[in-house]
Amino acid sequence: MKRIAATLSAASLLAGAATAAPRVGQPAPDFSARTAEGQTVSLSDYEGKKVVLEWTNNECPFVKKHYDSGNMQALQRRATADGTVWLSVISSAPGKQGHVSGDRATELSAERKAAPTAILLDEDGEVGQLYAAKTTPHMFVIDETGTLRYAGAIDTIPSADIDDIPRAENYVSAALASLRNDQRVVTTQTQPYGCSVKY
Amino acid sequence: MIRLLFLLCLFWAAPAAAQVGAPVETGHATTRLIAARQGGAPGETIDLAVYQRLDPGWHVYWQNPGDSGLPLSLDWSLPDGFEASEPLYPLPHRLSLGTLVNYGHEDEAVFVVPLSLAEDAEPGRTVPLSVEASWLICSDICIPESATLTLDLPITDAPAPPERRYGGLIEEARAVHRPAGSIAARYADDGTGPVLILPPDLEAPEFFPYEANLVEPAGRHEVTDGDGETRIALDPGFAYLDAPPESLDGLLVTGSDDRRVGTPISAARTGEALSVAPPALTSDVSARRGRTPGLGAILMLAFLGGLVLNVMPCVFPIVFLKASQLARAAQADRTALRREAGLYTAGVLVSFAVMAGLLFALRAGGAAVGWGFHLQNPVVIGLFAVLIFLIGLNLLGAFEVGTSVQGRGQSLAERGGDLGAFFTGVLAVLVAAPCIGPFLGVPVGVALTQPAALGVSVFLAIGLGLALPYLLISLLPGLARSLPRPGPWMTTLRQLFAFAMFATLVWLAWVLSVQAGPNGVLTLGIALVLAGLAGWAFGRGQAVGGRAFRIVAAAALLLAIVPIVRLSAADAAPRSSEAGSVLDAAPYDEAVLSSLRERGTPVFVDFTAAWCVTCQVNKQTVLNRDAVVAAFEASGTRYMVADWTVPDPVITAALERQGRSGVPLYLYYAPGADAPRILPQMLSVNGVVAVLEGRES
Repeated sequence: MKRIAATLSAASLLAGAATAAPRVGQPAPDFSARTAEGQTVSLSDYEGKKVVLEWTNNECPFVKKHYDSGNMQALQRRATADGTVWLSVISSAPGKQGHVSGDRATELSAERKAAPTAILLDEDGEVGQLYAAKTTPHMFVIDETGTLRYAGAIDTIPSADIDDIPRAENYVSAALASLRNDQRVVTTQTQPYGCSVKY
Repeated sequence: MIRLLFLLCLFWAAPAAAQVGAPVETGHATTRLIAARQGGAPGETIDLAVYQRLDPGWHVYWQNPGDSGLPLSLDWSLPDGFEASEPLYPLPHRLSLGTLVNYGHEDEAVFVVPLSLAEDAEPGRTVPLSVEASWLICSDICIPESATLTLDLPITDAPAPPERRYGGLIEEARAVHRPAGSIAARYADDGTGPVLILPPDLEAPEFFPYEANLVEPAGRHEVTDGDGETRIALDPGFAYLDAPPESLDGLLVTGSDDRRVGTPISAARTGEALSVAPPALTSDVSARRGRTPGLGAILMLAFLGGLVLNVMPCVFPIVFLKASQLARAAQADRTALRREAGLYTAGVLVSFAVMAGLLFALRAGGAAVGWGFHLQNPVVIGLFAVLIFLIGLNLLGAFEVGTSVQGRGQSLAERGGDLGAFFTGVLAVLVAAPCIGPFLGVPVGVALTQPAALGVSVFLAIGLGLALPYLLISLLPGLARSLPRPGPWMTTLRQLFAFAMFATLVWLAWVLSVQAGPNGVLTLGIALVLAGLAGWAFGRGQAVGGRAFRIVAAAALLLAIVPIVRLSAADAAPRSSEAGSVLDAAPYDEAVLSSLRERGTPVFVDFTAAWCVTCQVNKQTVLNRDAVVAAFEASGTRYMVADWTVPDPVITAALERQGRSGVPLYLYYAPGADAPRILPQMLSVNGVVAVLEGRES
């Protein structure tokens, strides 16, 4: 009994560091990461612009749901059209599902007609842990002042079924629309759904 | 009997496979629909189950899947009149994936689904049951799978015997679930997150919350056992940080390996202070001294505080009432005066004991209440208002209390004196004590964290202090002699005091308008008219005699009180007690507060309530003054109002973190300071300006 308790606490201490998730309404934590093209970018580079972070893993069925349907690409195009920066983050560790090279990441974007501003290769999981990213997809919306305004699921129906997309309401486009109109984001935090991030 | 035997033979002969659906193999699981018994009778409820065997290393998810994953989804196709309930999930396990934790099932999972059969199902027939099941199955990667599961269920005359191959599985799956409520649970916040408080000596307890986002699955799950209880400290999820729930509901799994059992628990939130709160949040006086003051010191402070309470604005209405009673008593001899003071003291002490006892009982039951909680209730405020109005009418002479109709010429002091003195004591506690005055913040805060007996003695010490001046007057002959001689001026004074009662009435009506809105005030207005009628009729009855007047009085009083009892806080205009504030007030919000503190903005937090007279006096005489407003502007200090007029668990918890249990409380967060500075309960313009300008550390 005592031993189990001790083990549990030890495990939680290790995990504890990773679970201090950023809070909506607070400044989004700054980070630097390498892009698929080999440049290094920081969140602070994009001050004055809205930023969307999308955790992704091209082999995850939940990610496929949103790419095979064209839903994610449409969202990326709409967002970047008005100057919003879209960063797709791959936190899969080497050897784990979804881990890809920079070239392969660029190729995947071309194949899938994806339109992110950049793809971040976060194979040591640093950015993922910083944001406590749990699933693919897991979405974050940051406003022009660098404040986190939304964190969570991409839409209202947690499933891997493409047929659910038209029936679901998209939290990310709702948050972006509210920010565009200088309104309060209505739903600020939800339970993300998808595959676990393959740290 | 013979028919029953015949039926039984029939069932033994029937193919067993009829109550076990065909297995469906998906990529990593084999799934089938099974039934606990060989058939079902019309109108009865029997257990079905979705039974899954999973490939080694793969798992499916519990109803709350944890950090990622999806629970089982079932879409039934059933004949008319058949109905399937929500599945009963197997006991979950904590499954770690890197830094994430999921709640799920490995190897084998039996999801029990109670099925109620149609009343008009035809015995002898077989009905087809079908369900579209879909689930997410993961190892280090995740795959959504689905299957159509079917089962042909024979309809029988009488309840059928157990299904032989799989019936036992369902029985086992049910047996590990203990009845809800068989383990008492509550939770408190230790400044980091929720801490479950459970009975002692639980074997390997694990808590699985039903709702996502209240608890961080990968956060701490620290089990400690001792002091006659088991605690499980958890980390808060974002939904908890937004608003801690009134109760934390989930499954408590105890025991290990194949002796695990699950008990649904509903842990009500309590405001109790836990010893492990981080230093930044414990800034009350006792913590700064490094230890809790001794009981003797606390009782002394409580006694002093009770004494000082007599000159606090809160107690003004009672002081007038008491003065009018003393004036009456002074006409009589010293025995009567002593009796009067003794009864008043008894009234004070009895009501302190009753209120403290009630408070401890409510808190033991898990309610987040503090001292003065009763004034948060519009019904109580409404009843007070009627009572105060009747006292005013009584002082004006509309009727007498406790006098027999004929009037036998007793002395004024005896007439109604006993009852009046006792209830003045009760009223003093009910109306006045909730306003926490100087010296009382610490004792009342400490009292509520003590065992009930000690806590009640602290409140009794306050009561003794409150009653002391009147006891002194009655006990010291010199003092009593110095009271003025009786005369016609007494009647004039007594009638003048009626207007103090009416002023109190105006205040209560205003409090009610904040708590219950315009409709509440309307209800009160009607009640006052009826109560006035009752008072008048009662007085006429005393003057001229006659049962009719008494009946009218009783009926009118009843009609006055009944609608008040139905008052509710539902119509309240939120936060409208801030309206009287000159300063730009922001409602209390801990997220905003912490972001302001991070940015180095000084913040002044005003814990107040409409029913707290001291709070209102401070607002009008200090906080609304030009010098103070200017100092707020010059220093860029944000003014936050935590309005406790109606119950608010967040504010109750915030008060308790400062070791307090009532209002007023004024906190000043200097830029960059770790802990707030606590200002005195009676503010002064110079004091507040000095603090805002940083001249006083």
